[in-house]
This record gives sequence, structure tokens and C-alpha cells, in this order.
Amino acid sequence: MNEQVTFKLNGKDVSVPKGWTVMEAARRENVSIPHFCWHPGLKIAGVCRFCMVEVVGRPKLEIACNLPVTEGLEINTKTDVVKDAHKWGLEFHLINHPLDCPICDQAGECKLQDYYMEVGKYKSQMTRPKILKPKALDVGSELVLDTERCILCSRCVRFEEEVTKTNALGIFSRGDRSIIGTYNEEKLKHNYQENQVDICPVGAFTSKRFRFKQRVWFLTQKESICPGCSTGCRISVHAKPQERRYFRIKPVLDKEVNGYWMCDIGRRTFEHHNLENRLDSASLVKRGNGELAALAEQLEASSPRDIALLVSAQYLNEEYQSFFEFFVKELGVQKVYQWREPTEKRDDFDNILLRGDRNANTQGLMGTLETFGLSRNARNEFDDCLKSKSKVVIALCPEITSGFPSLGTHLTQLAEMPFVSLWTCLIEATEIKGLENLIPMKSFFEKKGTTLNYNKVERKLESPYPSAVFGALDVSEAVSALRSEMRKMLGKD
Amino acid sequence: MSVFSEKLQDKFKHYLARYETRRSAILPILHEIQDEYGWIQPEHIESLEKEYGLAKVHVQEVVSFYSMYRTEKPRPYRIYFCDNIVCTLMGAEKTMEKIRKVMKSYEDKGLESPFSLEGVPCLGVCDGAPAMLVNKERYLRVDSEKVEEILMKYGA
Repeated sequence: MNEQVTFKLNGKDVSVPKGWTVMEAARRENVSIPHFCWHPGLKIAGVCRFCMVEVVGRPKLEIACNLPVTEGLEINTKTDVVKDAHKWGLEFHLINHPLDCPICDQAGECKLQDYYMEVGKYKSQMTRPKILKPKALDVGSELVLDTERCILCSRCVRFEEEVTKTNALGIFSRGDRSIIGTYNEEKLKHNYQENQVDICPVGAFTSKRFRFKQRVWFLTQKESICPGCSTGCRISVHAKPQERRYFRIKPVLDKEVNGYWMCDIGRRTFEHHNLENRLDSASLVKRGNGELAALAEQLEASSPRDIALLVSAQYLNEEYQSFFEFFVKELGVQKVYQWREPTEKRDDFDNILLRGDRNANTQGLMGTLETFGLSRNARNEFDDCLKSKSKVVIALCPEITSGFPSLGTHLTQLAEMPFVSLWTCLIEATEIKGLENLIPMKSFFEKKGTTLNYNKVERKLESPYPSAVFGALDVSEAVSALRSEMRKMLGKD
Repeated sequence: MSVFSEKLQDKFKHYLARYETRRSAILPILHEIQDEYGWIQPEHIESLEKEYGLAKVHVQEVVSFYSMYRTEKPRPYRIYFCDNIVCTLMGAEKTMEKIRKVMKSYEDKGLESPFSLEGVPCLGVCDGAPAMLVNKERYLRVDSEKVEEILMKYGA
């Protein structure tokens, strides 16, 4: 158990557990070994022949990804022979590469580019014309494939075999005519297509949604949690905050939660955060004295028995805490209803990542309800709220609508109640006639706080983006603004 | 109901059990299909996935890698003529020219030639150069006169 092996890496003694490869050991030691086909989340293929290292005492260079560490091994990764091998490796990989970096979306995060900057040959010796291959192939709802840019590392083929188990991609033909493709031009159909864009070390797979939208080096990256379902994958949100615009979501390694991957539904959850889809502060001042003041008036005039809370499970623990603190503890509201999609199949699981519960924080909501003595199981209580004959309803609206097909109907039904204050970030709310009191909310990537995933794993959202719209609040901010509105009114009385 | 005959299916089962991985059996299975039907049709590949769980992509990888798996309907008589050095020195080019002429005479009459011609590497009978195969039949010392006789035999 846990036997250690010691070897020399660039002259330094390094101990790693027995069975590790040189590649894994070097990564832990922050020694970068250039590679294309090796990926920590996939099996070893050893096809790109690029991770060459020098083994002292052996006549030829060997590939680090498939070389187990043994006692007393001496490895050099920076010597001239190694650099020379990289130079020639790149030369071969680029023989038929189109070199269309100026129009390629991978530019800026392309391993071919990166390594060429380090050890390029810069002068090609090829005099024969490049072999032309199919380009801009539509291989799935999320993907475009350029087989000329491909270096045949087979990461995508192994992803289809090992992760999604769909076996939809293969390498056809042979030699310099080899191409990646699907059988008979069939399309990829699974929900994990954009991972192919992430693992593709070059620009062969690009994302339909992100293609030609933005140069990657102009984007800011901040870590967050995917609001798409109760798995709660750790993600990185790529945006241009100065333009108040979100561009894409990529997964971040979290061994406990999502590993290296995330699903396409999750990757789409950035769209509603953008300016044109957002409710902004204009609605806060629509009436003379402001929306929050109007709500405060209603609260003041109603007995707690006539007030109801309708709560979706897409807010953060801290927000729930201050929400219930104010309404339940301070005002004494007793009617609390959960707001969930009636048709949801909460226990569904696709055996990779996506769960049927499309709310990021069901567990967090349950936990907070319990601390306020309101414990119950997760279920949709929207109809109970409608039937409750409440005069004032404060509703925390879900922000991810893809898993909530009934939201439109629900909002129309809500609009028929005497007074509803809808706390939401969605512009759609303004289209519903009769919904007069709208409080603009910050979206998921714009808040600080914690969530609990389906397995009660706690994750923090620590680096929020500035809100894409002016005047948006998180629930805690809205509650304290409401509290001071009410104090103001009492003071006047 | 399988698209493959029962005899063929028995052979498939034999190959599938013979190797460490089922995927390894693709190669001999494709040979059997080609021997039986003359070429490998899309419906064969699809049936292999449906009936034996061999992924279409994996089969297609093998089919496209080897040029001797046929993916188009072949002519009844396929001529493989050696175009390596010994046969070339002994006049292979001239004989092949003759064969092309015979093939063209069909087209001139508006008919489809029953022959196809392909240059192949050494057939291993240099002492009998120039050599050719018609389907799996071997012919030695084929000059342009002899080839005409042979083609006649096949219906030219």
C-alpha cells in the first residue's frame, strides 16, 4: 500500500506513489511536458508522440505519458535532444495543418500555437501541397468540425468511448488521409458535446454557440457554480464585464462533484444573464414611490395571515436565511410555499452529471426551511399558494427557465392574485399583464454565497461579476432595503 | 430476422469468441461478409451494431483503413494485375493496355464491362511474370494474346 518510488526529474529527486507515470509526476512537480493526446480524464493513447523525454542510459527518447516511474529512473525534459524532438514533432503535425489561426476560434488557447511559440521551426521544408480535407462539418447540435486542423490525437474518440459511451466518433482511412468523423454523417446527439471543444487541443472542434463571437484573450474568467441542475458543477464563467456581457461557461476540475466535464444544458445557462434578457432598475421606480415602497405599504396594511411566500430553489443559502429571517421571524408570516416545476422528474439522472432536479439549491432551501421550523420534502406547492387566498404574495422567481416549462403559465396565474411582488431577473416578467410589482434581481454569477448540491456538498460562490444591469439586488439586499422602507413608514406615522 | 445467413452467423459467433476483445473479431467478420456478398454494404455495418453490438464507428474505421475491403458493388470479374518491377519488365503494361481496350469495347457498345482492373503489388510468382488474378484464379505469363483468350472464357 502506498509504496513510494524515487526518481530524478531534471536532476531533482522526486518521490511519487508506485504506478504513477512520468507525466503525472511531472505535473505534480509543475514541470510542464508538452502533450496533445494525453488527458487526465481519459485513458492513455500514446498516439501524438509529443511528450518525449530523455531517459538517461537509454538510447532513444520515450513518451512520458506511458512511462511508469521506477526506482532510480533519471528523466530530463529540457535538454536539447528533447527540444529538438518537439521541434520535429510539431513540424510533422503541421504538414497538413491549414494554419488558419486568424479565423480560428481556438487561437489563444491552442496547444499547437503555444508549443510552436516555444520550440517552433518557423521554416517549413515542405514543398508538396497540403492535403485538403473536409471543413466546417456539422457534426452535432453544438459542434462544428474542421478535419484539416485535427492532429488525430483521438481524445474526442476516447471521450465518446469512455465518458458518454456513445462511440459516435472514429478515425477513418489511414496515413495522411486519416480523418475524424461520424458514421455516415450522423450527428452527435448527447448532452456532453461541448466537452469535445474543451479537450480538443487544437481548433478542430469549435462550439457553434461561441464560434466567431469573441477572441478568447479579451475574456475575463471567474469561478462560479453551474445553476443548471442540482449537481452543481464547478465552472468558470467567461465574460466581458466592461460590456456587461457573458460569453461562455467552461467546467473547472472538481473531483468531488463534476470531475473534468459538464453538460451542454449547463453551458447554456449564461444566456439569460445578458443585458437584453434582464429586468433592470427602471421597474424599481416605475411608480412615484418605488416598487419596494409599494410592497412595504402592502405589508404594513396586511395581517401576517394574509401574506404568503412562494420560494423557488434557485437562490443561495444566505439569501434564504435573510429572506426567512425577515418575513418569518420578524413579520410572522406562516404561509411558505415551494415553487417548483410540476412536471419535473426530480430523481432522474443521466449517469454522467445531469440531474432531473433543475434547481441548483434544493438542499440549501430544505436546510434553511428546517432551521425555521418549516421542514418538509421538496415538492411543488404552487397550486396551494394560489388557493391560499393570500392578499400579498412575495415570490422568488426561478431564473433558469429551461427546466421550468410551466413558468409562463404560473406567472399568468400569479398575476390574477390581489398583490404579487415578483423578485426576478427575467425580462419576460414585464410581458405578463397584471404583474405590477417587479423587483430586479442579480443573477447567479453576480452574487456571493453558498449552495448545497444534491449530495449536500457545499460550494462557495466567491468572485461575483458586477451585475449586468443597474440597480439589481440580491435577496439579502432587497430584504434590507425593504426593512428600511418599512421603518421609514413607521417613523412617519 | 438477421440480414446474414445462419451459416455466416455461426462464423461470426466463432470469431467473436476467439479473441480477447470482441472488437478484434471485426477484421475476420468483414472478410466473411465480403466473401459472401462481394462487398460490404451499409446495412451490413448497421446490422453488426444491432445484432452483435459492434459499434458502427469501429467497423467503419476498419473498413476505411484497409483498401481491399470493397465498399462499392464490384464487377463480376475483378482483375488484379501485378505492376511490380519483374512483371513490368516482362510486359505487364502492354497486357494491361489490352485489358483496358477490351473493357472499353463494352462501353462503346453501351454495355457495362463485367471486368474491373486494378494494379496490385507482387503476387509472389515472379517466375511466371507477368502474373494476374481474376477474382481468386491465378494466371501466369499473361501476354496480350493470352489475355484475350482468358477474358473470352469469362464472357468477353
